[in-house]
Amino acid sequence: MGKKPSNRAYIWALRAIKCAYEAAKSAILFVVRRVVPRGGKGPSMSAENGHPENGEAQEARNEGAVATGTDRLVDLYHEMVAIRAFEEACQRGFRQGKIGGYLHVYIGQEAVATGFLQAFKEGDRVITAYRDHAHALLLGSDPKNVMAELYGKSTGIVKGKGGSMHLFDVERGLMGGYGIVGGHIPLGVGLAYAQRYHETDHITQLYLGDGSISTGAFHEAANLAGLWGKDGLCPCLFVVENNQYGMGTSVERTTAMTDLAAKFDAYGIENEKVDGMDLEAVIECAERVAEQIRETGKPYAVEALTYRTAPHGAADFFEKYRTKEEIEEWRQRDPIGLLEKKLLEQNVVDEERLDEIKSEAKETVNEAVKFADESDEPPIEELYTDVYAGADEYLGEE
Amino acid sequence: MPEVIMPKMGDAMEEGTLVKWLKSEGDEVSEGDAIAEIETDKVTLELEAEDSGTLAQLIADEGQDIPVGEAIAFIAGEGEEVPERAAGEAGGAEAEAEEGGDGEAQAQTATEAPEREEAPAQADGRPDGHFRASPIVRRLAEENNLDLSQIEGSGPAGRIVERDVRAAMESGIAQKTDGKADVEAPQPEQAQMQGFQPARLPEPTEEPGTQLVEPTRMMQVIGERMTESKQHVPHFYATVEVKMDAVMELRKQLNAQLEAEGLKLSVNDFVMKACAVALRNYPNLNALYTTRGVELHEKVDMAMAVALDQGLITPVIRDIASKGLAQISRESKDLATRAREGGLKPEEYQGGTITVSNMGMFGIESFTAIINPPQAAIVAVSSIERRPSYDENGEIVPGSFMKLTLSADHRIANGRDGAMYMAEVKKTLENPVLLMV
Amino acid sequence: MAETKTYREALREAMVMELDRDENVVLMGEDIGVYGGTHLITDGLIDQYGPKRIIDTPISELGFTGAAVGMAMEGMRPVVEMMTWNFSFLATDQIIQNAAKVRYFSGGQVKVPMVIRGPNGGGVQLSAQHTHSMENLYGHYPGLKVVAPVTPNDVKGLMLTAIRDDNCVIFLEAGALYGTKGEVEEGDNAIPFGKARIARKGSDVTLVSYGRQVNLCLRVADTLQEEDGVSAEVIDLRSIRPFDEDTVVESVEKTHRAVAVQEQWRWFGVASEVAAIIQDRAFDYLDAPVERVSGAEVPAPYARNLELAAFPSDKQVANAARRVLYMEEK
Repeated sequence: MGKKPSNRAYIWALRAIKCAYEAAKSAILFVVRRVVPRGGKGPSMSAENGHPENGEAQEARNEGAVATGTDRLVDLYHEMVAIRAFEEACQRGFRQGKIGGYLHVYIGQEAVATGFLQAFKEGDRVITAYRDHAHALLLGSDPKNVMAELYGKSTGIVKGKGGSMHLFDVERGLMGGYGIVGGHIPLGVGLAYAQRYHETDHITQLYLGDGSISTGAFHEAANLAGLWGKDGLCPCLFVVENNQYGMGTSVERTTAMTDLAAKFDAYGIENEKVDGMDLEAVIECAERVAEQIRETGKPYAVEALTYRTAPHGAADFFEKYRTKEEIEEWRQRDPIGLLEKKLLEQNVVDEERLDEIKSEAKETVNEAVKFADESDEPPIEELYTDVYAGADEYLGEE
Repeated sequence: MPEVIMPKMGDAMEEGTLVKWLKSEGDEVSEGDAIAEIETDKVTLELEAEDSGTLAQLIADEGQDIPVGEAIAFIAGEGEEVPERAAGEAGGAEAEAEEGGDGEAQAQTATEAPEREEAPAQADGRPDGHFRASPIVRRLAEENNLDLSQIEGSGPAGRIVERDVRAAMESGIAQKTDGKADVEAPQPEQAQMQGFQPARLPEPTEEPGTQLVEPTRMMQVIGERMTESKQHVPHFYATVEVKMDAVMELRKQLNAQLEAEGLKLSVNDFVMKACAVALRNYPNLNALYTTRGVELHEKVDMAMAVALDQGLITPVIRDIASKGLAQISRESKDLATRAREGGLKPEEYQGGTITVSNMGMFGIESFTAIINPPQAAIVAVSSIERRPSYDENGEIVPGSFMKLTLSADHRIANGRDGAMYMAEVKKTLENPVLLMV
Repeated sequence: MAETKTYREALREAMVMELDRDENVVLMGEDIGVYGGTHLITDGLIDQYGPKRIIDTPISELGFTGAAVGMAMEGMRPVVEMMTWNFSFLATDQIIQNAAKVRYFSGGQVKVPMVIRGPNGGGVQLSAQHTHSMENLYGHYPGLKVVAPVTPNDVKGLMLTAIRDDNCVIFLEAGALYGTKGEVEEGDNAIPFGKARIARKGSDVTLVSYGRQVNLCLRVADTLQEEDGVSAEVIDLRSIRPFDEDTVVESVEKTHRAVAVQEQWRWFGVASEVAAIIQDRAFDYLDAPVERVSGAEVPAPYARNLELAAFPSDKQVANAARRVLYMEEK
């Protein structure tokens, strides 16, 4: 079973990246402390409702600050804790039979979306696959509406028509979660083309999993992105969320060339790797790369090395394809744990404050669950709406 | 005799497989003895006898699938015999059945399984009395109050198609009688059972050259009963052609002797007698369809259709099978005469068990009659036609032929019964000495 | 005012009109730009509108169709050419899983105003892999609209409507007829979807078809008139989804007999749907079972005689009409 050695290779790779990054970090942090008050991009999961919506933070980012201030880190810690609390509530809801269908949680991967979406600007687009709860929450979708969607309620973010895999919040930039592995990748490339076609400096963050790299959709879309990027017509940030497993099959069991970032070389797309468990590393990479894309209109790919400590889906037996030791090893590098350790070490917060944040996050999630539970089911008339746009709204009705 | 059935072993079980017989025919079995191994969709188990006696007959074969509730064997007590229906599966050719004795013939004809379901197809394409008619034809018929039974279909398999019904409308045939007239309502339970509904009718045109005739009370009743019969009784038909030379010869001889008594036997007397005698082996054609089942009659009370100026009536010759030709002749003449004079008592025209309708005197080559409910059957008698025929040596000789058509209720009897019965009538008429037996 | 134009010219005219009218309209597909289009529908347009709007794509139907869905979600109106519809199987995941459904599973938050167009059906000896009629495949999915015009006037009018529609429209062109001529209305002749065209009026039997087979039905109608004195009505459905039930039903209420003709295979095809609709809504008017004439149940062959035998013939359709009229076949 070649999984262990190879996973170890990944971890080495991660450590190498980390070492290089550590060297540069103290200098960066120095700048950060001076310049950036806070970089949170919305109250979404935060209990501190007094935070500015986009304005202040946007300004800070527009200044090109590549930095993670300590307050900002505390906020982002809060976001990640809130995501985890939300996902754990989802797992409970699934076990209780309140959530149907498939359920894919983001536990262990929080730093990736949290970090990359720090580079999000209003007007940008985000598109991802079915592990999409975190993206919606981070973009500011109300956790109540997200949970209600999972509960199949009329107050759901897509009116109870999509469920866990199909969260959309177009107003906030989320162009959807999609259920067919790889199927959304061409869409993301098209979104990016349209952004340049309309002569904006918006970009599309296109999240894809390691499993989708083997689909034809990925290769055809990446080829188009590279091609259109030559003319500056594809401002697309590919974020490969490499969590090591496509369902139960590890990366090295699905492709002979396991350097997923390097796959983009074939299509003329610049790329790099980042430690997806290290929030600060992700933010640094995301902000730098996003600016470049904005400027050039050329696509860029980042392979974020991460790990799903939860099962693939709710009904997954993960000990079948990976060992307890491996999971334990990765848990040591849990993005929330790492950040927590750092915040404590640097005396930014104390244990008490962290506990407060955790219980605030739990409180928010509990409210969301209560809201979802108490909401009405979609009215049956909704069955026939939204099949077609325009005057033919009810064309599907017999 | 107790039968052993395929038991229902679960709520979704519809049939079981007989895996193996554990006893043989003739074995003594006691209650509780395992007699067979059966298999359902869920389990295999031993089937125990619920009665003691001799395992008289194993109906099912090993490996056969048998619907739940069907007999797979019989257990005979002392002195009991295997019922006829049990022998049905035993096999045997139709030819043997024709030659065989009464009981045997009946038992063996069960082999004609396919015929059970299918009545013999008629030239007019309306087996079982069902019409083939396109949807628009049915709509037009309803809107214009047409009787589709009077329209010949020109489409495939006799389907009545639009052009047929348009032609019928132009020529004015097939118009139904006015169902809105004050007719006696059917019995409530009967109406419910048969769902009888009068058709929608058009207003009279009252154009010059038309005359509005109100149906007589008798016509109303006949119309209603015939409509009911034709719509609700699934008719099937079986026609035979009978060589009548022997009957004609016998009749001539008998009439010569009876002349002194002032008696003259008609061909119809022979036909009625033959129809009655042949019924002995076909009790389900001498039967009534009742609220609680089919009532089989031992005695043949034969109704004979007598045409009147304003309708028709069917006086009855009681227990006709036990009567001689002379008596039949006397009674039929008397009843017909009095019928035309309107002098019949109700008990004289009620309660027949089968009907014979003769239109031979009009030169009708063949026709089919509508069953007179609740009876199971009616025999239509046509004219005798004289034409060349082959004798046993292949020589062309003159022969006299007559067609008899049976209409029978498919709810009571199957095509096989009808066919066998008509064959029996034919045999009897072609060997009229049998009438003397 | 009308002018005689080829099917190809009419089609191109509609796309040019919309390119001029709406900046968001772009054309994309394989070899549509510099090469001028395999069927020369888009010849020269790249010079006029530039490569940003006339997009030559690599050979990757899945990729560029999916990208077009993304563009449409972001406010553009892409018109995607399938060089032939046979290649669309590669893109079915994008068409069916994304274009048709994304509006629904986004709870109405996005729309997908795009057209996928190209030659459909056979008739020019392209054999098995290049001969398909796609109307039942795409017509099956809620969220898609499917049209199949046969006249130059209709191809222009329906293309104008298709590009302006806010949904994904499957535009099935009669590939064998690009060169045929017909009167085309000048200017904006947008034709609404879901409206069938009575191609020939008649009273005795209704022939229902669409695409290339409409022309066959018109020929058969002439034959029936001349040889049998039968007046056949020919209905060109034009739009498969939405489907104009009323026009078909009204015709059958008049004629009482119908034959549905399609080039595609019989099973689960449009003709079956036609038959079902008629029995459902005009049952009491029928004088005969509805007949279907379809392609032979084989992959399309190459040899000319075999290919002809694989598609509905004049004789088959005429005899089907005679059968529903209870007349002798010829």
